[in-house]
Amino acid sequence: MSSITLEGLSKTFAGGGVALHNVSLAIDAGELMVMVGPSGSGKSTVLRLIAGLDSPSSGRVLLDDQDVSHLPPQDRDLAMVFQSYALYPHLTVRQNLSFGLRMRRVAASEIAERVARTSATLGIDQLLDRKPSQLSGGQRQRVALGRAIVREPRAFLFDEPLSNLDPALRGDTRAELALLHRRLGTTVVYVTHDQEEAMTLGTRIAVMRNGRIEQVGAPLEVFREPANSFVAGFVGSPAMNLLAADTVPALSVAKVGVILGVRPHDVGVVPRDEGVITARVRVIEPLGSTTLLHVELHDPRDTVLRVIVPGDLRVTLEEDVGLKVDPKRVHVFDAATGRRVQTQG
Amino acid sequence: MPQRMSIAESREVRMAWLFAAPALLAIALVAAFPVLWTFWESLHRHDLRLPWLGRPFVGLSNYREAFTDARAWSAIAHTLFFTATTVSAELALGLALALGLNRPLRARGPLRAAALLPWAMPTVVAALIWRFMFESPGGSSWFVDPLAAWVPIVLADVWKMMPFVALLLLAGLQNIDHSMYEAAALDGAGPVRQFAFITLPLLRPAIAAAVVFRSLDAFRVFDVIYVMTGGGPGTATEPISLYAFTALFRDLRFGFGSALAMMVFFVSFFLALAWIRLLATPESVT
Amino acid sequence: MRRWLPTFATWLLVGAGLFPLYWVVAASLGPESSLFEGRSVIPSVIVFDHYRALFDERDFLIPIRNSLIVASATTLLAVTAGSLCAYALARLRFRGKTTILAAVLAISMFPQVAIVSPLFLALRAAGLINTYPGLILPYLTFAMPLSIWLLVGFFRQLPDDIEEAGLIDGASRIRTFWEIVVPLSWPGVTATAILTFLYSWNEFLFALSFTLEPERYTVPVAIALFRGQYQVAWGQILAAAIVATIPVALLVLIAQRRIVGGLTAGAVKG
Repeated sequence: MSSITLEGLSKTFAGGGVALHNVSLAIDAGELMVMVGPSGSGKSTVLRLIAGLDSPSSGRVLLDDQDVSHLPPQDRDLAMVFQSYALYPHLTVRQNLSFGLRMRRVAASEIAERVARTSATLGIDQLLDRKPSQLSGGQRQRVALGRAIVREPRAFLFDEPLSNLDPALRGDTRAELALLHRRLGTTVVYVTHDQEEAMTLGTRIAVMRNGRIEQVGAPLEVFREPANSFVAGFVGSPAMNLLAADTVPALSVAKVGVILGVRPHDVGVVPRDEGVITARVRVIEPLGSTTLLHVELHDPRDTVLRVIVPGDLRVTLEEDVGLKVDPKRVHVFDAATGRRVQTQG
Repeated sequence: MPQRMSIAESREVRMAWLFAAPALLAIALVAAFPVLWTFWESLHRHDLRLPWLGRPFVGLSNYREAFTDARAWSAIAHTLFFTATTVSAELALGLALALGLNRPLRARGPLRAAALLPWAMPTVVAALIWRFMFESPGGSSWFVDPLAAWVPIVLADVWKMMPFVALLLLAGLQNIDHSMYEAAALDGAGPVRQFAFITLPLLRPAIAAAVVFRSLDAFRVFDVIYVMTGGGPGTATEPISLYAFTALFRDLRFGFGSALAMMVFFVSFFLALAWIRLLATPESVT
Repeated sequence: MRRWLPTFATWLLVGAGLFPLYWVVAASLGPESSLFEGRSVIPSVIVFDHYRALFDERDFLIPIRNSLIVASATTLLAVTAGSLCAYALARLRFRGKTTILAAVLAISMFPQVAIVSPLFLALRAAGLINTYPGLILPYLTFAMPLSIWLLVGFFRQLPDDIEEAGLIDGASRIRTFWEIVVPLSWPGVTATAILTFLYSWNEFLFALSFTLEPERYTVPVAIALFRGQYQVAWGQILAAAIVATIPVALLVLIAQRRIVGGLTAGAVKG
């Protein structure tokens, strides 16, 4: 397994679109680094640069301190799982799995052994003689995984591997991927737009926006201490409530030029007179063990907060309630730059 | 800021040129250079029947002669007439056939094959078939009359090329999202209005492509008229390509013939450029 | 009423298109005499005189052989070189790509009459008049651009990521082309080959200009230059027409879907 270092990567496309601005990142050997962000944030571009499918306009890509920025993809010894799986339609599963090993002139006996082992691990050993068109989506995904694993590469690159799966399958496959990573210990760079995948899978996560890395850190660290309002609103579901401080003076000491952030889970619903702020319940979304409420503040009107409450709390529509927030759970961001301001108290 | 190409990129560029070279060289050799040669020749006086006159450079005098040559003007008029009639007929009939084939018919495959048959045969054969049909045993009247002779000519070309137009339009029709018709039907539009407001507008690119393709081909017409009437009676059905060909290979006037040929080339070339401009949008070419 | 009208009209159109063919087949199978008296559409007797004469007196096998050789060789060359070129144009990144594509397209629009004289002189100088190369080479003027144009359309339809997967798996560009792209684009390659063969088989002007003797005539030229002793030998001409049409008819019937796919992939953009 290798460490991957990105130094000052920038990428401008021929049409003039700037995909990456000076991106630097140090990925340790063996860790699972998730690059997460909305579409257009540049995360797939970074992956393609690491893979060698595109060349950086400036900057370097290093594998284990070796500058590979100008090496073609076939010489980098990396394995990639594509969003669409990109299986070779005209080859059987077995041939798909052995293709990369054949290219590297691995001995036939070794190829057979590795294919057998990997297919057994992934539960696709009964499918070896089928063609991709005869497989289900989940099976194809496993073959794509198998094709990468069988090569025992320096690192794995995953490009939204779960997004084409049925939602029902996603959770289980996610857990399997986590298990796999723990077993194999290979470095993984994982790209997704789903922040839940990022939180659950990553050793560390890198949140990207508009071609820049907004924050890098362990998932919980990023969750608890988002570096700016964008990260705060992106990580965590349902999304954090972000309000201008002067809208809700009761919540913060500083009133001017800051944005306050409160997570839906950190807002407590109490009888109207006990609350720091009052609001009217507009929408109730029962989720089972919890309930998501959309409440509209009485003052100022038109400000809606998302609040998570226990599922058995009895609330009715159009009811007036009080809200309580632990001041320590209030995040403060500079209104102009979005950056985190040190909280008081 | 100029981008320095990586090793991987320059390798790819080199490979690309390696791959493309054989085909491009062949094309340059057999197509590009000959056109340049013909142009050069058109600027000279080169009459193979009068070899002692040599091959002097005469500038644009061949073109001047062509512009004042009544036969050349007739030939162009014939060609334009042929183009206008065949393209419009092919468009109308082709659209009808395409609309007919764009429905779930049981015999669709065989129908398409049968419809394609005329297009697949040699133009020579098509010309002879129609000549046969119009030539009555007791001295043919059609081919003796300078105007009537056009009828079998146009029919032969339309018969042969209409399936091609139908195919192009059919592909365009199949690209139209079916749900648009359903939405229109819900909005109260009957089949005629659906055709006028959905089909025709969305079919415009395909129609334009068909018109340009066919016009380009029709303007260069040679085979069908050569075989059917030889340009006759007299020169009454002679298109400009045939006139150029005659000037070159029968009259052996290579300079003048080349000028006529270049005229055909220029019109075709600019028509083609116009097409590339109009229809081949950047997304589809790159 | 409305429902069967379009279907009926379609059948009518197609039937009208096929009627001339039927008439010709019927005429070619009728005796010589019926060509002069009233031409009935339904033959009273069926004779093969014209076909026999075609092969015995006129040795029609010779033009057939010539056409086969020229069309096959042209197709082989055009599709091989054309697919490499088309792959480069469709996939690989290099400057000047758009210009080359536009140039290729423009060249396919060249009127044959504009290049027939220099080609004639060049072939004559090289001693290639009335030879197979003397036709195959000029045929590349339309066969090569046609192949390139059609194949670029097909290669573009192949998903990028399968080739990228091949690269990442360790295959060089050439190996990806050979082991992944070519097998996957087989339908497109065959469609292109069929269309190229068709156009080469049907070509007339170059064949007329660059061959001198019946020994080297291709089928279209042979038919066009049939000379009866005293009158137009319609019987044999029509028989020849049918014989000339059989290979292309077979191709169309068998590969109809491929042909349509090929034409529409390259022709209609969007």
